[in-house]
Amino acid sequence: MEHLSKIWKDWLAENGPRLLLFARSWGKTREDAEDLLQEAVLKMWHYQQNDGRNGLPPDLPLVFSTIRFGGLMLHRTEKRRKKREQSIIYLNDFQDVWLDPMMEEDEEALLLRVAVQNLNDKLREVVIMKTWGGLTFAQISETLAISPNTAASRYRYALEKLAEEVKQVRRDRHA
Amino acid sequence: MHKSEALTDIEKSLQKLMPVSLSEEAQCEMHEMFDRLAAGSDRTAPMKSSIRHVTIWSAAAAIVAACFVFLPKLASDEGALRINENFSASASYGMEFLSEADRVEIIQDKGLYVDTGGSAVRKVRVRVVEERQIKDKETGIIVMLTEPREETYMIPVSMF
Repeated sequence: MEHLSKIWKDWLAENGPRLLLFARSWGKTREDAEDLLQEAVLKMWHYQQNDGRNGLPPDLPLVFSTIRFGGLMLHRTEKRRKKREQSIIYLNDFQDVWLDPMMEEDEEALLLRVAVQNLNDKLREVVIMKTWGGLTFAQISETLAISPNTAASRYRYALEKLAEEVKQVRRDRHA
Repeated sequence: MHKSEALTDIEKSLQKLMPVSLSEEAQCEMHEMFDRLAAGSDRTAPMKSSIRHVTIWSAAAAIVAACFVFLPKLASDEGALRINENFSASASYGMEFLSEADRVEIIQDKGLYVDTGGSAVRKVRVRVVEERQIKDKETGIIVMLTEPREETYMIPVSMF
């Protein structure tokens, strides 16, 4: 069984960062997101031990779904105490980085990072799953229970918004 | 620049950004979790179940034997009284917990005493037997675990 533990550790090393990035959409802090991820991974472990599965790490779309479900439940609880708007402001108040600090030297990359964080939830989750999760639109559509066309159009719309934001900054810089 | 080119540029820029890793603390916690879970699945592996049965049966036999040694008057003329009973559906290690009850075997009035504060109290000795029924899911055998205990109550007396 030590072998199984190692397989999961390797799987976490490979996929942990992209799953954490996705979890951050719901966790107010990095620690919250890490807790959410750990909870999802624990659920996945038990799920994978069931009959017909071999106990090995699951496919990513399933983990994204589980994180999302956990995140939604977390938000539902949060809603009782705070309004959604306050939560979003908090979400944008992250001081620690979501993305590789090395890229911060590139002003445009930094801007893009903030722009991704500022996308609305529906757009951001598609961008994260597509860009860093490596999921296809079909897989994203299964995860979010939407049609592949909707997933694709959300992704395109998100890119347009990001492009517009970058363009605006470039314009301001040259003005 | 065309719109499609702009979108392609954005896609490329996004791919240059990499998500940050889990904190060292979180990573350690999850590694420990995997180790614990892997060890846990070892315990519940079918090949270990026979050992588990032997252990549980030995424990049950020891408790039942202890009852016979220490409670020779189990069928007391004081009459048995069931004071607590609840059922639970929890299960662990392939065993199903069916019921739990506290059975009062004996209630003995040991008379009046004066405590250190000078107050009168009535001393009552109660012998209780805690009974638990556990079912082995694999074999269907139901085991009753019996744990006797004695309690003494000091009831304040204000009127004579």
